Amino acid sequence: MPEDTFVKVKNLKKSYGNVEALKGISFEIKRGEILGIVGPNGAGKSTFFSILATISKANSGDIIVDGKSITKDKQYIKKNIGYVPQEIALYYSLSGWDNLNFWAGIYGLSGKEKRVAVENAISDMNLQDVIKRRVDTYSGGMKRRLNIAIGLLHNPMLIIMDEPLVGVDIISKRKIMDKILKLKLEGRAIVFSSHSTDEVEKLCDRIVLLEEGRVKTCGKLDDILKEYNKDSLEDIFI
Amino acid sequence: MKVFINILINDIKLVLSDWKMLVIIFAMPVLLILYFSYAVYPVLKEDTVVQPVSVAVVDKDNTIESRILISQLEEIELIGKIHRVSEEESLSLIDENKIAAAIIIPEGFVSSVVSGDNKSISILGNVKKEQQAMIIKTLITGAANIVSSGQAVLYSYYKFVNETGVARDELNREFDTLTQDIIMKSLDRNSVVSEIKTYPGDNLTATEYYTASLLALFLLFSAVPVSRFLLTERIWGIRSRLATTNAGGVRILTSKLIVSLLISIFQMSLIFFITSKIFKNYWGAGFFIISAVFISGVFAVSCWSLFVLVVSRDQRQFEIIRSMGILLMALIGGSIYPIAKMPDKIRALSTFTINRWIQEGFMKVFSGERYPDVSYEIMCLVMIGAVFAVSSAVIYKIKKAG
Repeated sequence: MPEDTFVKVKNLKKSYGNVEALKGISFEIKRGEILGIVGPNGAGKSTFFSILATISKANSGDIIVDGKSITKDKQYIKKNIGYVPQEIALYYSLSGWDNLNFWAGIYGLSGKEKRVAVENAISDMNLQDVIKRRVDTYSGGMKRRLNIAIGLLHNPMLIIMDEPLVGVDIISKRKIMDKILKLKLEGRAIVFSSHSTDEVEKLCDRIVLLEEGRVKTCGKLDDILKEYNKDSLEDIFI
Repeated sequence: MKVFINILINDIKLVLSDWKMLVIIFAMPVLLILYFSYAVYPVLKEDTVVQPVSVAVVDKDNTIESRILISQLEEIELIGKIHRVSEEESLSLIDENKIAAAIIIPEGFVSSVVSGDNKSISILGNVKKEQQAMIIKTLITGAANIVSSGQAVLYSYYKFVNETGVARDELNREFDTLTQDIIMKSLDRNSVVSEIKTYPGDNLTATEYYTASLLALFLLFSAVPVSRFLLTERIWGIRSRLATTNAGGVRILTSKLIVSLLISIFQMSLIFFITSKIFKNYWGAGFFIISAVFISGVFAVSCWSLFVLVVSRDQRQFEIIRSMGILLMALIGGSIYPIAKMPDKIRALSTFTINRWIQEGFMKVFSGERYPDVSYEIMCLVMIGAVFAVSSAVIYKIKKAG
């Protein structure tokens, strides 16, 4: 594996009964790179994210993260991934501060390390004014920012973001995108998915286009556009 | 361990931050307290149940037989503590209101019974515990009547055999054998009684039976907080997010189970102390035995709820399976129709229901014994809980792999 390759997806297959969700996909993700995973509904994006995030298992194939196999070194991989789900996975009856503290504890942080991580997450996502309030009083954008902050608490080397910007207002979106770009500059590998081709075009260094469980194409945006002779990703889908 | 404590603290915070949950946690016991304190007040009132009576025994005879007599008194459930003291000390105990009565066995009592002279046993009653003193008097009078009957039998036998012209030595031998036989049989009466076995429900009133069944039903709903948390975590995607960490399913479920047990212990303490200390309801057994039945019941119910959660696809399916399950268990397990009156097959089927064992545990609690043996019921509940817990883990693994 070349030095800058952090994740290697090798011939990954997954079926649900008779339905083949992934039919043997392979690609790589480098350190300091944002890889966009796009495709229509049923393309296999969610299945891939669920396997990469160690939520479910593949039927065959493997994912190598930092030289470790996802099937054999699950604990190591779990420690080094930050998952930002599409759903707002928060405890609504608790405050933002309680949520961050709980997840920091889950990631094994304690004492000063935990306090610093929580404080950084709050300032990074600009949640200082609302952090002591119950989450059910937050706006959609605040909840999204908190949802992302939780995934980044433990400084993971691989960040998995499944449609993190859904329903976020323009100002919050800009702040979150800035944060994602900052994480990339810190050398983290980021896997990003979105239904908005605009977001993918702006953020991602390379793009994997999935269709019916297969990699239709993989490469830089300009190369893909040239390959399909189109002006935008949206045109490729249409 | 740190991760587990973190999960546990978070779960407790979740309970305390959810006012609807707090209303359920407080309202359920309050309803039961009202039921115990008003609806079944006449049945469970402390005064209507005879409590074990403390007595003093003054053994002036001090023979082997008189000591056997005292140890026989100790075996009577109605008699609580027996103070073996002198006559002066027994008077002090009455003055201090520590005993209901003092039983005085006179010197030469046993030999007087053998010779037929019958020296009297005296009873000094405590005026402040008049009812209990009367019970002791009745008990001793009853025993004296039995002794008189025995004497009459022996006398008639002696007279009858004597008239047949049997030699005196042989007559005395026959008489001694018969006396020994009567004494041995009377000493062995406890083992004779223990052979009689009744179904737990047979010696309880309908109110006591349905109070036990109400408690069993109350416990069937005790897993509401656990299942609600787990379901909410699943719906909100928290469960998936937790799966990406090293938190571990066992830690998460154990924490929920502990929270559920803590809530139930709190509810049980509230019900027990308010009904027994303020409203003076009589529960029969002590708090720890009641708690043991309660906690094992909560464990079984929580594991069952976990099982339902694991097999359900979504919230709607979960609610349907849980409600139908509770209804079925209530029907088969004897919470609606008395189990003793059910056909054998249904009764056999009820062995697998949780409420049956909770109910039988509580029926033993209500039976009036201070220390009833509820180990079998607790064992059944723990086993049912363990089967559901293991099945849930297996199904969860299979589903995850799929």
